Amino acid sequence: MNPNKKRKIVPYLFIVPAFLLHACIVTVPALSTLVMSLFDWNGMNQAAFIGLQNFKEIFTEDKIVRLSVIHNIEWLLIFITVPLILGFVVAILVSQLRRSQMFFRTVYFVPYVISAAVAGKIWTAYMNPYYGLNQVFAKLGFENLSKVLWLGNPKIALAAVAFVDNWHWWGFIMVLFLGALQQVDPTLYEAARVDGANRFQELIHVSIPGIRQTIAFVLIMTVMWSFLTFDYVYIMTNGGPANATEIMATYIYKNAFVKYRAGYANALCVIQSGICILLYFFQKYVSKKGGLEDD
Amino acid sequence: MKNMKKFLSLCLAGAMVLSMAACGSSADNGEKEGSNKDAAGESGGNKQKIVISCGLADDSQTAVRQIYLDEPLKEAFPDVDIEFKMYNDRQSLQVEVAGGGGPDILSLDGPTDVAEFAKSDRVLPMDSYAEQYGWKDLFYDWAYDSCFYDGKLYSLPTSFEGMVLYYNEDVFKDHEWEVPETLEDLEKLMAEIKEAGIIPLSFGNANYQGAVDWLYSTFTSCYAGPDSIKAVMTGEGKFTDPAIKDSLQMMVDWWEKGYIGDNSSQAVTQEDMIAFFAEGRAAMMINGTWATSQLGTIYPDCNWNSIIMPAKEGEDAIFPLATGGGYAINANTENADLAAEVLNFLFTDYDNHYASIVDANYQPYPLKTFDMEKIKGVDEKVYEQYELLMDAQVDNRIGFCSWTFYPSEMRVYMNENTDAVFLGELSLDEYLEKAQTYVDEAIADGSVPILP
Amino acid sequence: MTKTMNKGFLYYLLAAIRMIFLVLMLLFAAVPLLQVFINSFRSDREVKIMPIGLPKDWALNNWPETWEIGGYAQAYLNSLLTAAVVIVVVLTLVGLGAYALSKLEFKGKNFFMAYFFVAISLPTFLYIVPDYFVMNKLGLVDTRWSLMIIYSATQLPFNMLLLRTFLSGIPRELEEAAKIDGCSELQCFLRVTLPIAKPMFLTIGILVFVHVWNEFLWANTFITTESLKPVATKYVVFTGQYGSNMARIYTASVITIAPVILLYLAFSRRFIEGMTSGSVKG
Repeated sequence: MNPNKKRKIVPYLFIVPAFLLHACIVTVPALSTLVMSLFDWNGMNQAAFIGLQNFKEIFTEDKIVRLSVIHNIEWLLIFITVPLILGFVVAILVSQLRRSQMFFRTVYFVPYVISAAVAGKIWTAYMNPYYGLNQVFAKLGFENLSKVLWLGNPKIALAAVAFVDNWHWWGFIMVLFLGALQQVDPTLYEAARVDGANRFQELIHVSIPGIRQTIAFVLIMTVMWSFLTFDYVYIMTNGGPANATEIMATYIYKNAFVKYRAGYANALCVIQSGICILLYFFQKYVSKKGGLEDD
Repeated sequence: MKNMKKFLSLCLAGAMVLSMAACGSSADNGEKEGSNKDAAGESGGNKQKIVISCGLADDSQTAVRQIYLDEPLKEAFPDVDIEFKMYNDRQSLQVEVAGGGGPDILSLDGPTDVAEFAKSDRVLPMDSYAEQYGWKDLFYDWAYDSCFYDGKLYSLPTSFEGMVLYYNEDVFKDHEWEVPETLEDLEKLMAEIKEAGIIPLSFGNANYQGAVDWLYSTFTSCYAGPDSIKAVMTGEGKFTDPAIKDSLQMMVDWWEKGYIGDNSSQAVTQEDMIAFFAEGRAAMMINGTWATSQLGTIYPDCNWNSIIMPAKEGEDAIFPLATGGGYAINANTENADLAAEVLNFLFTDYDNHYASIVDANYQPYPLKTFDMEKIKGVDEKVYEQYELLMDAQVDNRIGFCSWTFYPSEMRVYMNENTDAVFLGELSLDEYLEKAQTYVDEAIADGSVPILP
Repeated sequence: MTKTMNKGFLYYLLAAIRMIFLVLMLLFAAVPLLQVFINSFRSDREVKIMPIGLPKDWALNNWPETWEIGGYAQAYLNSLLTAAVVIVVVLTLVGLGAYALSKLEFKGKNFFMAYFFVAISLPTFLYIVPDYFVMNKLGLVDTRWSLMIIYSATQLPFNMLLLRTFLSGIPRELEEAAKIDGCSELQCFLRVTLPIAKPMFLTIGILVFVHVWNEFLWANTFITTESLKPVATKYVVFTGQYGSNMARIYTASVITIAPVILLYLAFSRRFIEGMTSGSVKG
């Protein structure tokens, strides 16, 4: 083989194994199931073709779909603000430390390595109205606080689950930001200081632009994961009480495995992926416009 | 349509084979392990294998099962490798069966559950086996009849059970409370219990929302009456009729007053529900006859007792009844005949069955020959509970639990939405109307269960 | 004079506020976990009366009981074995792939980039049933193989993107120099990029380990034989069986999370260096 031709093939030899493995296990089966969204199928039987009937039901009749999308959006709003701001602020503060920096960031990251099954179970226990933190609140004299049903009250259950997921998640964001901050060219700070910038101005004009690519990455991931999230809700409330924490993923799960409506669940999956992909491109577009990203 | 599916599965298989190849060539992930596995598979020889699914059990429960099921089976079928496999959730069992595998004998939740598998031809009709082994004469008619779907027998009833009112004797004694005899007594008592800072009826469904079916099955059966439900299922009545509405309104009122679950049932797990009752945090609970086994093993110190839900003054107390589950034969099995033989053995191995009831609080099979004499050695209160159950059957004072006698989709709807009614997010009228639409559908397509 | 004093005072005040805030966040992250550890030495009754606190009487029975009942020795082995294989496969495939995406020019590069991004958004429930179907046909269900293959595949996209951005940070000149010396691309990758990128590979290896160790949905579906179950499924099963005994659940929690935490702490310095050595980009 002539070396030029070989040169052209090599990159494919590098990337194609990963692509093939992933395509065979994930994408192809996923596409095959996507077709099932056009069928009336209980997950086991011969499917009957019903065209867009499932989608019609999703958009016109099923109130819970709308509810779950709203919950996903609420989830997104929480996750695009709280952990990002918290992670960013703590990353800035920690980056100013010297000797103790390593210690702080190591501990902040620990919750991230814990499985959702364990973290969800532990926090469910802490949030139990009879033997959870409410007992501590009662002892400390916070009467009202001790009566809150963290996971039982439909008004706050979603926030309570999001709180736990955040507990596990923000340390990861913090470490990403911290890494990015340390990559920012120190001469830029010096230049800013020469120009008489104060700390705050430095932050706006040097730090944030310096880590804009990381911010873009975290934003994309947050947006997509907010619509895919499953673990914590499934473990802590399973969509309850009274659908107050129902999100796309748990509702899909229920349709596929509790209600025997696999075809319908697949139609919901199509919508879920569709939203994610749309958001991905939208986010990409906004990031580019807003200068968060090069090229 | 058939071609389409075939084409898809071919595509998939092709894709997976490709991926295997990709895996094998790009990474040398421990070939040794694979060959070991093969060797182990072969050493099993030609011995036939039957796998029976079962629910989650802890070590002591498994040990008991070894004695009363595994060992006798091994003796009766020395040439067959019979294994019980635990499934801790429905999804894994369902994915397996849908994926063309799964255990030979499926332990399912009951007729409404079996119907979904039958609809898809995932379980085999057993009429020929029924004739061969004379199963029709083996079981109570109501239990046997409930196992039919579309005119064919698809499962065998594994146990019969019902809903009762448990009360904690120690708590009652401490407060000098009397065991209620009528509904009016009960309501008065619950107000008193609440006043004393104790939860009247322990309830929690945080980790299994469907547990609300214990409640609505009990309230409709006991306070609307079995005839009203029968009328609904035959199309003569509606689920929105005043009798049913009133009974469920009472359930909602009790919940709102904090009688059921202290206004926090959505945040309390099933395990906690029993724990609260056994530890005296609650005075009573509405639970199934199966709870005796949990109470006996986990809380042996708890002095509990049980009664049928008290009826209104001057009316008969109704015992809401159900079959606890059904054994069905997986359509994917290669040994259907053998599976049927194993099932027949399980239901006719009387000595071990009685022994398991006495020693390990197993639920009895709904057998016509069921002999109270044989279980004399069982815990006294459990024995009394069985007496209640038998009497109710003889006097025909039986009610209907949703997991045996309601159409599947109606039950799914009610299980998912009862909490919304409790929490005031869904009106009772809307809830009943929607439930009725599922009855209408079931009547229209002939899948509505036959009530005895 | 006073001005500098004020500034000094303000400086210390701010530093103190900063420190208080950071310590509060530290407690927020660590206390729930420390309490789980402490609770594993308290009796069930004590834990239920007051979830937070030190043991009045040290209950040492939780540990041996839970370890024994849960069958954790075998589960540890299963998880470790699965994780080891998955790490090797993922690092190999992702290493080569990310190298191509970050260093080489070829047609369709943008397609592959977009593919791995979009791949992240495919919900599990779309492919779990067909995967089971085919795995069952191939006789892989209820073997460790099934999980190894699936985890390897599902771990690819995110780590691919992560490593690509890491590798982009390494100047291309180094590899070019090696190439002039007559190295092939593979040799370049192995001799130049890999040694420099070692901490990044370590970081990704740990991330993969964490995910494999913690995953329970697939494992729950594909593995039904008790002796093949990994730790996370064992935990989920255990909480179902002994749901009312909180002391044991706390103990099982510690048993389940301890290896990941210890591994992370052991490598934390290098792990975080890996995370920070190339900033992540979208």
